[in-house]
Amino acid sequence: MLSVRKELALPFDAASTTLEPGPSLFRRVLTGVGILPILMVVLVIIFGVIEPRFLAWQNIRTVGIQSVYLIIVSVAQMIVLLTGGFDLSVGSSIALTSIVTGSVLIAVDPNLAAIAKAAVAGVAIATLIGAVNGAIVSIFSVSPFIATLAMMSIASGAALVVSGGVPIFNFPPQFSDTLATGSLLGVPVPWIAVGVVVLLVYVLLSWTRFGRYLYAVGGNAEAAHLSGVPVRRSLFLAYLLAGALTGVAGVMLTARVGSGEPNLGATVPLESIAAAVLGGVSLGGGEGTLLGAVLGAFFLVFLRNGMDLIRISSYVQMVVTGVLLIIAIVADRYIHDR
Amino acid sequence: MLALAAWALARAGAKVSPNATVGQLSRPQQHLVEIAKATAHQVRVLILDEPTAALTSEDAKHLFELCAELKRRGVGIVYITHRFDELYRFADRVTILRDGRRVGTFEANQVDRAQLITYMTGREFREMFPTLPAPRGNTRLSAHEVRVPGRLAKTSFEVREGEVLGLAGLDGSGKSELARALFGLEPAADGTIIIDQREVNLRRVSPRQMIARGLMYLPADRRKEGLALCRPVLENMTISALAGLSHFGFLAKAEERRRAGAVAARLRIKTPSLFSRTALLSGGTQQKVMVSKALLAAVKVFVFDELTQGIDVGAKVDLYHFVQELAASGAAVVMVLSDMAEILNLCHRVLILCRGECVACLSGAEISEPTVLRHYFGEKLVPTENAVGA
Repeated sequence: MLSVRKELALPFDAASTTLEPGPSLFRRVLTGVGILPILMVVLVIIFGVIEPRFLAWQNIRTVGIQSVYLIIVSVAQMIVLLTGGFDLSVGSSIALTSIVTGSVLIAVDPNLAAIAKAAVAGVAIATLIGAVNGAIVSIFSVSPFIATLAMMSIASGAALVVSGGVPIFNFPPQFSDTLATGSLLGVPVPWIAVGVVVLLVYVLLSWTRFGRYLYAVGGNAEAAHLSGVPVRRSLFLAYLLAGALTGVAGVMLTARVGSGEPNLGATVPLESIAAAVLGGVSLGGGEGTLLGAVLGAFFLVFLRNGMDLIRISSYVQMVVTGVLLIIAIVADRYIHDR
Repeated sequence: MLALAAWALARAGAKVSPNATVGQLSRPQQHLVEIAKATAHQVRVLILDEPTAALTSEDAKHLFELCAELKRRGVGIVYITHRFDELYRFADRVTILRDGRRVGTFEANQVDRAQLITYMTGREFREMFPTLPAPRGNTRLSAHEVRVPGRLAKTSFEVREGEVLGLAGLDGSGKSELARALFGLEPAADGTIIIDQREVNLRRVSPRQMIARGLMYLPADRRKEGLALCRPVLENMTISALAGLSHFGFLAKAEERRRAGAVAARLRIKTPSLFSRTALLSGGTQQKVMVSKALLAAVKVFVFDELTQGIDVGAKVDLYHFVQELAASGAAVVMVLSDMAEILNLCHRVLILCRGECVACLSGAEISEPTVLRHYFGEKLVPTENAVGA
C-alpha cells in the first residue's frame, strides 16, 4: 500500500466527479439542424423589410404548399446521405415518374381507380430506379456518385424516349383536383402527403432497427460490418426507399403542373442536397436529423419565393442556390470537425 | 535538400530512401519519417506523443538514442507516454494528467511506478493483473485446421469455458489473421470451428452470422473498424444487440437504455451521458464502449485483438479485471497480444505464431519471457500438433 501525500490527494475526488459539461446549446442546434436558424433569421429580416407581403399569412401558406415537393425529395435525399452516399438521379426519376404517370392516365378511363393506378405506376417506376441504384451501390460497391449519375442519364433518356420529347397533355381534371388542389377535412392533400411521408420516415429512423443500421453504416461502414449490421441490405433498402419517396414527390408534382413533363425536376438533385446539408445533414454520412432536412427544404422554397416577390431573375436565383450550397458545405465541415 | 532529408532520415534510424512515397511505407517507417521531419529543422522544443506506439523495439531504441542526443544539445523534449520504462529512461520531470486536469509534477527519480499508477488512475493501486480463475471442464470453442492461404498455415486449437488463450508473435506472424479468420474477416480463410457443439464452416461466413453463433471479434483499430465515432455512445454499445432489443424491427428503447446503463456502470465507462458523441471520449473510454458491444450482444466467445493498445493505464487495469470477470463467468476468451506483460499475466495458455505457423503452445509456468521470445523467432521446440488441447 502506498501513502498519498496530502496535497496530492486532493485533486483526485475533484477530478473524478467532474466531467466535461455536455455540448453547448449552440453546438447542439448546429449538429441538429445546421446553420438554418441563422439563415432563417437573415431571410425573414431582409425580405420582411423590403417586401411586407413576404410575411403575410397568405404567402406563407402558399410557400407551405409549394415546398411540399422539395421537402419529400429532400427527405429521400437525407436517407441516402445518412448512409454516406447521395442520389443524383432524383431529378430524372421525377421526370420519368411524370411521364409514366401521364401515359397511364391518358390511356384509361378517368375515375378514381384509374388515378390510383397511374399514381401507383409512377411510384413503382421510381422505386425500381431506387432499387437499381441500391443494387449497384451495395452489391458492386460502386461509388454512389457514379452509379446515380449514370442512372440520372438513363432515367432522363428513358423519359424523353417514352414521351417523344413532348409533354403529355389532356389529363382528366380529377387528377389535379384530387392530388394538387384537393383537400380532406380542410387539409390540403399535399400537406397530408408530406405529413404521412415525414411521420413514416421519423418512425423508421428513430424507432426501428433499420434506422439505427442506416446511421451505423454512414457513421462507419467497416465498424458496422464488424458489429453484425447487414451493411449491403441496409444500403440497398436506403436507395430503394429514397426511390419510392421520390416517386411520391414525382406523382404529386405531375398533378400540380397538370401534364406529364419529360424535363420535370431538373434542378431537384442540387436543391435536395443543398436543403439537407443546410439542415445539418452531414455529407460524410452518419449524422443528420429529419427535422433539419424538412426545414432546409422549406427554407430554400421560402427564399425562392422571397426572391420572386422582389423580382430577382431566375438566373440570379440559380447563383444564389449554388452559393448557399457552398456555405452549407463549409458549415458542414466546421460542425462535424472534418 | 535531398541530402538534408537523407541525413535526417538516417539520424532517425529510418532505412528509407528520401524519394520513397510515404503512402507505400509500413506504419513504423511512416512514423520514423515523421520523427525525421521534426528533427530536420533546428527545433528547440520537440513534443512527442506516444512516439513508440507504432515502432518495433529496435526502432524505439534508435529513437531513444536520438532523444538523448537532442537532450544533450539543449533541445527541450515533452514526451507523452503511458509506458513507464520509457518514462524512467530519460525523463527528468514527470507531469501527470487525468481527466483533463494536472494531478502534479514530480522529479522523475522521486516517484515509483505504484505511485504513478495511483496518480494516473485516481484509485488506490490495485494489482495490475488479476488472478485468473482455473478454467472449467467443457470445450467452448474448438478451431480445426483454420488457415488463410499465404498468411497462415493450418492451425487448430481449443478453448475451454473460463479459459483465456493468448495469440502471440511478431507483427506479420499470422496471429491477427487467425483471430480475424474466426470472425469471417479473411475472405480466403477456410477451416471449421465448433462453438458449443455447433459446427461453423469458415468459408464465406460473415460477422453477422458469427455473432449469432456466439462469437465476436473486437478489432485492434477501433477508429477504423470499431466505432462510429460521430454516433452517440448508446448506439455504439447496443449496435450488435439490436436483434434482442427489438420487436418486429421496432426498438425497445427503455430496455436498451437500461441494459446499456448497467454495462456502462460495470465497465466504468466515463461519459457525460449515454447520448454523448463517442468521439468526445478518451481513448480508454472509447475502447470500453467497443468492448461493451460484445458484452451486450451476449456472446460466449470473445476474440480481442490488442485489447489495450494505446489506452491509459486506468482503463487498462479495468479491462484486465474485465477479462478476468469474463473468464469467471465461463466465457472463452481469445486475445491477440503484443505486450509481454499481458502475455505473461493475462492468459492460461499462449499460442505462439511465427511466419504464419503456430510454433508453440505454452501453458502455466511455461509462459516465461525467454521461452516466449525464443519461439517468436521460430525455434520449433514443440510440434504444431501439440497445440491442440491443454
